[in-house]
Amino acid sequence: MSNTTTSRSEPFNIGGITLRSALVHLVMYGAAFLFVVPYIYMISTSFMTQQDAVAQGMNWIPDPVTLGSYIQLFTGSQIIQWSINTLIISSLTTLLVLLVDSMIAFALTRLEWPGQRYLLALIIASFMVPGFVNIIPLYLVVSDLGLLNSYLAVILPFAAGPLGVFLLAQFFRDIPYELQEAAQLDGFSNFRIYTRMILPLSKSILTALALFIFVWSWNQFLWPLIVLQSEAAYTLPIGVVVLQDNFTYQPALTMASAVVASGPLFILFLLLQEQLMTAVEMQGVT
Amino acid sequence: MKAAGVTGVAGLGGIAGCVGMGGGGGGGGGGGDGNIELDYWTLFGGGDGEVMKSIIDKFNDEQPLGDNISINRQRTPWEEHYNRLFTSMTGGDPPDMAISHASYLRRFQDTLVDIQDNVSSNDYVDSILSACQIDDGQYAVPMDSHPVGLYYNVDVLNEAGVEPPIESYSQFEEACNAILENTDALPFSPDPYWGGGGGFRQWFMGLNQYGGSMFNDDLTEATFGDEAGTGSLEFLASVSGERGWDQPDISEDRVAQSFRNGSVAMTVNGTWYVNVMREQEFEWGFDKPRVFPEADQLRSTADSHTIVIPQQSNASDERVQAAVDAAEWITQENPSWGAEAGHLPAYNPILNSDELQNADIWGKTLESFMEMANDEQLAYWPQLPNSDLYAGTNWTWVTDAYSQNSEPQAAIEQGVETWNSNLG
Repeated sequence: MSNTTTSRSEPFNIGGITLRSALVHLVMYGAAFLFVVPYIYMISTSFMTQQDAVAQGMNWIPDPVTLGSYIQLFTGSQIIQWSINTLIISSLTTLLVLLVDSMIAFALTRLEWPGQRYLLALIIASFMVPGFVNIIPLYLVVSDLGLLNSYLAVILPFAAGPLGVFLLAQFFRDIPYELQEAAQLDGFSNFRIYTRMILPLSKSILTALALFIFVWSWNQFLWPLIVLQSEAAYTLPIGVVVLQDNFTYQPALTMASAVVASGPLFILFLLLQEQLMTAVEMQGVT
Repeated sequence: MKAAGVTGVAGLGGIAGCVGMGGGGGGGGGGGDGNIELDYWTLFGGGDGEVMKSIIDKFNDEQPLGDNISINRQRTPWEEHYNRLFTSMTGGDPPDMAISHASYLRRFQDTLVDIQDNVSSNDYVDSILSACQIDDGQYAVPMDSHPVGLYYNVDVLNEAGVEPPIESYSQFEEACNAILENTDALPFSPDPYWGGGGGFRQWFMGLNQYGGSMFNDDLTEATFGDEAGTGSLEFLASVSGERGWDQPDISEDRVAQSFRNGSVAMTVNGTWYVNVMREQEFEWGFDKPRVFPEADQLRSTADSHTIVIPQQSNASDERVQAAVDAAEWITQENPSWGAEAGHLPAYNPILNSDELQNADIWGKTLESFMEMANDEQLAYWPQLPNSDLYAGTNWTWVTDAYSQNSEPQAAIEQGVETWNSNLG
């Protein structure tokens, strides 16, 4: 009976590859290709001449291949400066969020002190306030502090977001309290518990949060535009929009600037993808 | 100087770079060492952005106001320029000078310096100057006028057997039908910038060509729900509808791309389009926009770029005067704003100068624009105290009609409702 069943459901098999496996691969690679299509178009268009880029129909292969848009971009704009600005702002924001938010989450979940539940509720409640509502009051605060046009004007408000605290508090809460009690019996101070126990155990969520904050601050547009008033202080997303003249359609230049703006994020993702996947599996976040 | 400082600091890449990136907003008094660097925010990109850059580079090289006064030009994205300017003016740390459309002046009036006693000359085109003068004060230095006109691809017209110029609506209609019949190109799209709210300049032009008005004199009520407003929108909708001259497709950049690759033959656009046209491989032509059937009069939608001096709580009189002097130098000493950027200069001595009238662009576009200005055929946007005239959300009813998603009559009713709620 079992032999008959086995032979009936024997998968179609050529050279060790089953039909099912082939179909699964076909669908998966097909779906992956669909995701890649816009990037291929972006890269391809960035190597076209301006005339070819506006030509009729979909032109996928640049002919001739030209670096004209990149040369125009690097010689005629401040994109290198904008890249440096963006890198500094995103890196410092990420570091600050990891440091401050992990301390706050630790204090809220692993220490006993009066009012901690209300403070957590207050932080989470700030999710409900739309960012736009804060723009003018925040601008006045930043202006009064004399921070306009400095990296801090962007970094400090970004670092004060509730997301990191919320995510880390959830994660820290699930770490067994027995571990902490054992450490306390061994004479660990709160600071050592935080640095030697909680942080190492939270590597995956911290990586995911870091990546999320880095990408988020890299892509921010409106707030940096408002407080960074000097063209040399712009970040990449502002720079890319400045380069797109509303009244002059220049797809090759626009695509070249998009390649430069998105390239570093792509590399970062490749470097951190393993940790990111682990965190997603554990938490279902990002 | 400040920009160089930024590069140095940022290059170090340290936390030290976090503070004091220089440049930016106001900057307060005259400066301890007597040097004044005027911050100047512009919204120009592409061709006219390059011309404005060259004007400011020239200012900083020649230092016409003395070697202690320089300009720090900052370019902002067009769509964010006014949000950013308004936020900085509200927050009290705006630039020394900024570009503003004349149509926005009444809206910003309370945050601008009245420069009536600071200006040295008012030899500007009357209609443009009067737009800068509100309630017995002067709130801007006029720079140009930028009406719209009909641009066309001469190669496609010739292929269709049409010989430009196009000097009447009947010639325009014949040209469109010939192109439709004899070529693969679409004859005409009223605007190259559909996407988020296009076609409104052209609709406003039609409204004025049919003798209508957008608002009542008090600017409290929309008055375009009449025959003129509806007629203008009905014609635009017919272009992508029963006439078949264009597709009812309002995708962003569709026409901007199609006009450049020759698959749309004609479009209506502003003075600034010459910078794009110069780069094309086809021969292009230009005429006054006689594109509305049975129009009562010729009119073209116009606005002006002006230079405003935002109020700064700590700016010295010397600094304000330096900003006004610099704004006057920009508008009075630079024919390139017309000859190269393609706009119609507002300063009479430049407008009537040989340098402008001998420029290549004069015979191509500027002469026609000047004739329309002299014949009082420019329809300027009303100056609204509280509304954002160019916000795409105020004009979706035009694109709804053009994409054939609404009947013109229903779209006009929607438009009247939108603008009445804005005015209220």
